[in-house]
Amino acid sequence: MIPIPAFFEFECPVKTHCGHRALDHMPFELRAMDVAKPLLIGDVPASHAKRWRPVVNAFRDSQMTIGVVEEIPTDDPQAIVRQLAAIYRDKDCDAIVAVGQGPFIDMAKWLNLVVSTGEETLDAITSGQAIPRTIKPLAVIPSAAADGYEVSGLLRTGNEAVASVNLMPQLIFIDPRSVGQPDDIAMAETALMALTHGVETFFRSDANPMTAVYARTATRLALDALHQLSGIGERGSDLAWTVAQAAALGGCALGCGPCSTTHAIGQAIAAGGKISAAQAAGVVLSYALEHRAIANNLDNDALWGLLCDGDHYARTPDSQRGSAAFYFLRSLLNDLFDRTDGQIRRTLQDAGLTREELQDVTVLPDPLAEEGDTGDYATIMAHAWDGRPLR
Amino acid sequence: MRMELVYREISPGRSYLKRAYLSINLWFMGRAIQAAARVDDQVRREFRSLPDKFTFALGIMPEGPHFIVQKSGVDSARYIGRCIDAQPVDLKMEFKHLEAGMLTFTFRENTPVATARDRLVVDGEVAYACSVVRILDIVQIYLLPKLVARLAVKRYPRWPLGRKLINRTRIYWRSLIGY
Amino acid sequence: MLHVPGYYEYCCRVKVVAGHDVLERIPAILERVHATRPMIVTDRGVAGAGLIDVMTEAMGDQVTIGGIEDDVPPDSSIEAVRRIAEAYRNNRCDALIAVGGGSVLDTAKGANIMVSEETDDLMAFSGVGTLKRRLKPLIAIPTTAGTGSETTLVAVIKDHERHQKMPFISYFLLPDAALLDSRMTLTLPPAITAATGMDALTHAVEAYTCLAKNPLSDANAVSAIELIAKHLLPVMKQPEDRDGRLALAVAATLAGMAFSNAMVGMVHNIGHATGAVCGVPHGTCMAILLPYGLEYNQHRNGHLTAELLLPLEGADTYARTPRNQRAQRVIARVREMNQSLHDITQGQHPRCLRETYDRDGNAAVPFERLPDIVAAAKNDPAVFLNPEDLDDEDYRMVLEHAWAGTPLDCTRIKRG
Repeated sequence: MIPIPAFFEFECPVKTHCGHRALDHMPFELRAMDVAKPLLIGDVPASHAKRWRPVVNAFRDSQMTIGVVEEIPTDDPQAIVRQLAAIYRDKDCDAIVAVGQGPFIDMAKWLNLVVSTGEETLDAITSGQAIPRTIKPLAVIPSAAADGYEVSGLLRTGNEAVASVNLMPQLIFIDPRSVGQPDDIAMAETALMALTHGVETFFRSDANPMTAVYARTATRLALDALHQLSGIGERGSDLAWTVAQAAALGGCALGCGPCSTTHAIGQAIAAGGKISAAQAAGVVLSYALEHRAIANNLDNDALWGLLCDGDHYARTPDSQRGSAAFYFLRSLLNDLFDRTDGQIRRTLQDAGLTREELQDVTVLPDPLAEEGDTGDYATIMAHAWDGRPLR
Repeated sequence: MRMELVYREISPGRSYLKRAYLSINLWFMGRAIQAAARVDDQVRREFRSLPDKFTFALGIMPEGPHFIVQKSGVDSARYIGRCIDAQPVDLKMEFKHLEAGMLTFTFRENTPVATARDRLVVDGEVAYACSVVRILDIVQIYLLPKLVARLAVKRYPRWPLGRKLINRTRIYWRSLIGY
Repeated sequence: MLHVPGYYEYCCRVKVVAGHDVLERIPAILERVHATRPMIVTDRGVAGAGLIDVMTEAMGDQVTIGGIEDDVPPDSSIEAVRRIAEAYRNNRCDALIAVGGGSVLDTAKGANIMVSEETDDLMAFSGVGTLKRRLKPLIAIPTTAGTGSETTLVAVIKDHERHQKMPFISYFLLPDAALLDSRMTLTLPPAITAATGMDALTHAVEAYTCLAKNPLSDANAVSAIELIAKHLLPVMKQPEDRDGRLALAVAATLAGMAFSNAMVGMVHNIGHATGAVCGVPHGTCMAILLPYGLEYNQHRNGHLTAELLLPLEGADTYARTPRNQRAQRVIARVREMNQSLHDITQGQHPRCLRETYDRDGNAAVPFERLPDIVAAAKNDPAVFLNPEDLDDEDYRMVLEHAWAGTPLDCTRIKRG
């Protein structure tokens, strides 16, 4: 159980629609928000992965007219946002439905800011004022290949990052038909990132029982998916759906709060190009947690309770819960490594990084990192490199 | 060179087959309620507890097929049509979209599950909704074979054979001829 | 323990601000919603307990209060809504602060519709989906750690002339913020602390064990149960425990989030009816009926009830109790909690319906009234999402046992 802070705030404006025929609820939900003509926008992978069709079909029998722009590139966000904003206004659209992943969703959030405020650039929007509460409706259709920030309150473009709870989409629709069918590696990476988001937000300095609800659920879903992907658990037909849920709810947990050690290290290592940010975060997670535990800054009971089911938890003696948790996370990576012929890494060494290269990695605290989170990055990375426990 | 974004406008069409299927089902169900109110004591008791001229509708949003039934007399009912806008309705139970209606009318989701899954919207005095749901349950038990009806209701009742067989035949007949 | 249904929706949009000094932050919170002249809506009980004074003192002179309406009746009526809307207009207010339980908040929501839509015909906005835009800022400050009504998007207003209870359902009815301050529940009398704590526990347990559960509402429910199990009895013994009070208030809101997404079942169903027919407070009904609801549904959802042993009694008891006895142990634990609350309140917290009394000391639920409760329960929609169906005979059986305080005879429960 996480302790209740003497003061906390919680807000999550996202309404989740998840499961069989979720997309069909979209017209009803949009109408409830007084939307008459939504603008559907999709990125290139979304069109190619056939995620697009069910979204358009969901508007059958809705008596709504929709505007659509598909196969939108993400290479020049500023210019594309400007074009899309012009379309949105010219065609009298009044809501955005975004089908895509990663940077494309950042663009959709940006577009929504532009059409809601009338300002063109992020600077103009955020300079001197908070992001307005009365932002236009944004619906996001999450994917099973996601960077995990889609549903969060973060908008990242280039080196800029803006955070506000009002940037979170008001509606998300996680329908098995529209999450795509990415390959196992992409799904494992998505799930690893969701796991990292879940676990880290659970123990974040501003964590509270309400953020913990999203964090816990995202963690459990991510673990369920990873068990299936690693061959420990039986593989269900709804695996991709589970992965997309984990990623989306991990984003809800993240909200607009600070990112933490694992993310900062993951990003820094990924910048070298040898391993993806999600995989790097997955590798680093257990070492960063263990580092915190040694510094007496982690509730081992709560961690083990977060990672396993009630029976496992209750059967593990108090004194062993911490080590059980770290062992569990590492053996999960081992199993994934075996199952994917080494494509999911157990250690940074597996990714072909040398010790020397590791020393060159400069971890910049994330622009939104917690104050004072300097972290003993070098120690954590050294252990994540060869997979030696810290203790 | 940058590719221009292509804007298209779509007015997604209608699923005529599904609409027809639901229209027929709803029409038959509406008429079966009228018939059941003449044949079954329990349904009559439920109608007796409703206010005079109480009108309720079940259907599909937005502007999909509906049936409208009105209480007539002390404990009987009348199927009064399919057009939801033609008269004021005291209690409206509507599926949020066509597919939600299809899930229920193809027996893949029963009413409690559809309610649990937020697919059904009830608009009106909720106390009366309970009576209406009980009426719908009884009518479904009459209309459907036991195997299917077991999926449609939470608890399949243990009725005497006579009630089931004789009343079922009478309700089917009356529904078809509209009496 | 991850239960993912084929489809679910989850939403808790209300902003929660919780802590020991939240009241001092009201001016800042109002500023964020661009309001300067709030109207305070409350009832006589809250005002009489001095809570409005605590609040206005904490707010200091940074906010001009546009008016205080402190006579909201226990059932939110259309007359009260009209009166408050008129006062709001006359005093040129620009926000509402509802301090109290469910009826205060519902009344404030009703008044908010009238002043925001600039209408005199409130009933034109009843039902689902009639509200299309944001209303004036509304801040909810619950004063009992139980109802969880600050998280719901529903308002129920009574029209006495037409003898109707009209529901208003819209996301625009969610308060802009729910403020949980430990001071607002610090002076709650023991019997009410007990009843509202068990009310919140029932919300969480029913949300976890009934048909509309989903992984997020489950996580809400489990946290709420854990907090109530840990803090309710200690707070009863030490009413001044600020941390415990805050924990219970947070638990009640978590439970509110759970049940406003996952709905409830037969405990609420029979409880609503008992309250309506005999005037027994809602929380008291919940406390008495909860073990019966769990027993009755056990053949359907015993495996879910069993899982609640972990948050309720902790890892040791959970591990020690054989799997097939966990549900029974949960039910027994709820009864033990009622017994402890009964002892601590010197009998004010009843363990069965027979032990409930009205203000004059007469039995609140005479045995002869049970058929009336059955009739009322049949018209309460909470039963829709109960795992097992109930007919007249079943209601009667449950009520008779709950009246006498004897466990259900499981052989008499019909299995469909």
